[in-house]
Amino acid sequence: MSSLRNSLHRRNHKERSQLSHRQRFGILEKHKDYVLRARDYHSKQDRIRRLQQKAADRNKDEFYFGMNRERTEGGVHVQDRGNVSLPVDMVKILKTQDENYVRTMRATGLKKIERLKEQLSALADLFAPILADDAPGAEEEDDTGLDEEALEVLRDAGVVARPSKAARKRRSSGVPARHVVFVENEEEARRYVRGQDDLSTSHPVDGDNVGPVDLGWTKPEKRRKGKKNDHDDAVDAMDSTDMSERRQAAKAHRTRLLKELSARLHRDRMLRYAERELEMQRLLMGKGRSKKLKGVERVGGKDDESEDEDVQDARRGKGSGSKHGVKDVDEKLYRPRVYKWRVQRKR
Amino acid sequence: MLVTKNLVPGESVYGEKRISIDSADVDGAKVEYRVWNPFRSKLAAGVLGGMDKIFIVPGSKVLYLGAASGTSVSHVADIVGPEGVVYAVEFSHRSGRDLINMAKKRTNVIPIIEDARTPHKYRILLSTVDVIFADIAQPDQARIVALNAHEFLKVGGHAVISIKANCIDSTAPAEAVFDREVNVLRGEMFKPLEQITLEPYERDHAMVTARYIRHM
Repeated sequence: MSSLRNSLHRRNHKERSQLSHRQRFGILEKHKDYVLRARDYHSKQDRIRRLQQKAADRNKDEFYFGMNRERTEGGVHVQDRGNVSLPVDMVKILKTQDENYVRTMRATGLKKIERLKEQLSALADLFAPILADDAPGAEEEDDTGLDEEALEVLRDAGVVARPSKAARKRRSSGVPARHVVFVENEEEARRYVRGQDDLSTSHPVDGDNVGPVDLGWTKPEKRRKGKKNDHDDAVDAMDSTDMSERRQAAKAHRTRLLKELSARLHRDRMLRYAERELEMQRLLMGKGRSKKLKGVERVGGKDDESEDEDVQDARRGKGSGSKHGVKDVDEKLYRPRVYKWRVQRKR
Repeated sequence: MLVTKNLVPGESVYGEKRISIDSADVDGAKVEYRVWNPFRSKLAAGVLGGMDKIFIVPGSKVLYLGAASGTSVSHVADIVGPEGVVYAVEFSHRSGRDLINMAKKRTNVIPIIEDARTPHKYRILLSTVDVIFADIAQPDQARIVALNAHEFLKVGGHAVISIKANCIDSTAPAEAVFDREVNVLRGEMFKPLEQITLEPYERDHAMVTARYIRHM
């Protein structure tokens, strides 16, 4: 049909796009793009030319009464942007509000930490996997899933016991002195050792496969509906009679609690620093001239040795990192600034 | 988890968790247990650490030196039950107040607010005891235990002592301190039975059990 013959060639012609090896230059400019660019450029040029003309035929004797108020700096008119700083009293109030908020958050965090510690202390064999190196060859599971930082935080808080020097010496010398039994003579010693073996063998070797002994207890109903989902996996695993599965579930639960505890302890420390900083700022705004005794210090010289002298020379000894010359405050090694005030009456 | 059966069901002494279990044989009766925290109690740490025998059994008379606020004493009282007695000696008045409040609830605890160094001062209150448990952090604690043992401990009775190495001699290594204490005990007519360290619950602590043989 004629309409089809004519219309076939009338199809939409597509534009050619940027060549693939030139994609880094952006889109291929067509005439309409050029027109936009040119119009923009010319309008700006016209504006600049007009301003230059106006500046050239300025009347030096012009006067407006508004000029009494205005200021110039080096011949250039300066205008403030209208930002007024808050009065000091209001700033102090706002900072105390911030401080109170941080303190509240810290208090709630501490309560949660206490609850976690309570839960952890209820688990009896908390440390068997972590102190695997204390009992050589006794534990094959030494991977608790906690990384070194988390363990360090826990050690600092005193949750996980640091291996004491005696334990370390013991480990190195290979003599475990955990449990000492005093006997009179060799005969008793042999009897004791045999007694221990008897005890261990008399434990049913099939105790691992036998299910939990029925002590006549009924399981308490789960009272809390909302918390059901959290412990489902652990509880289901606890229900199963396979000992290794229960051990796995217990270990996973333990690790989860320890991870959460270390994260919360870290957060508590950060909040403490924030609180201290806000308090310091508020005191600095108070009365009395203050003198800075010590700036923000980085504790621990180990990082300084890691940079070699060429890098330090390139910086001209100014300090590492940021552009503004502020020393980097490492979160772990923070010692705050120290100020000294002149004692002055508060009112 | 280490628990003791609560002598006073429905009450927590120091805010510890309580577990109520329905007992199937007696219908409707709930048995309550209190969680024993090994971080707060040296005796619990010893038990969990693998002490063979602590000699504190239901019905026994226990002399507890260094009772503090009575948190461990309450658990010992739970163990000895209504037939046993716990004589809790504590010198500090502030802790003694908490001890007395705890003893008001548990009738088998007899609080004694007196210095353990002078056992003759409270000899009227005590009869012969079966076990002495000592958790006093003093450098001369072996001597104190011996004094009390000569006064009150029955022949063939036992002493369970928690030794803090730092307290006795902070310069010497912990093992040496424990050996020294054990030797002092030997000199005071005790026959040491066992010694375990309380790692990981406490650092440089040990628990020693000994039998009192009055005639060498």
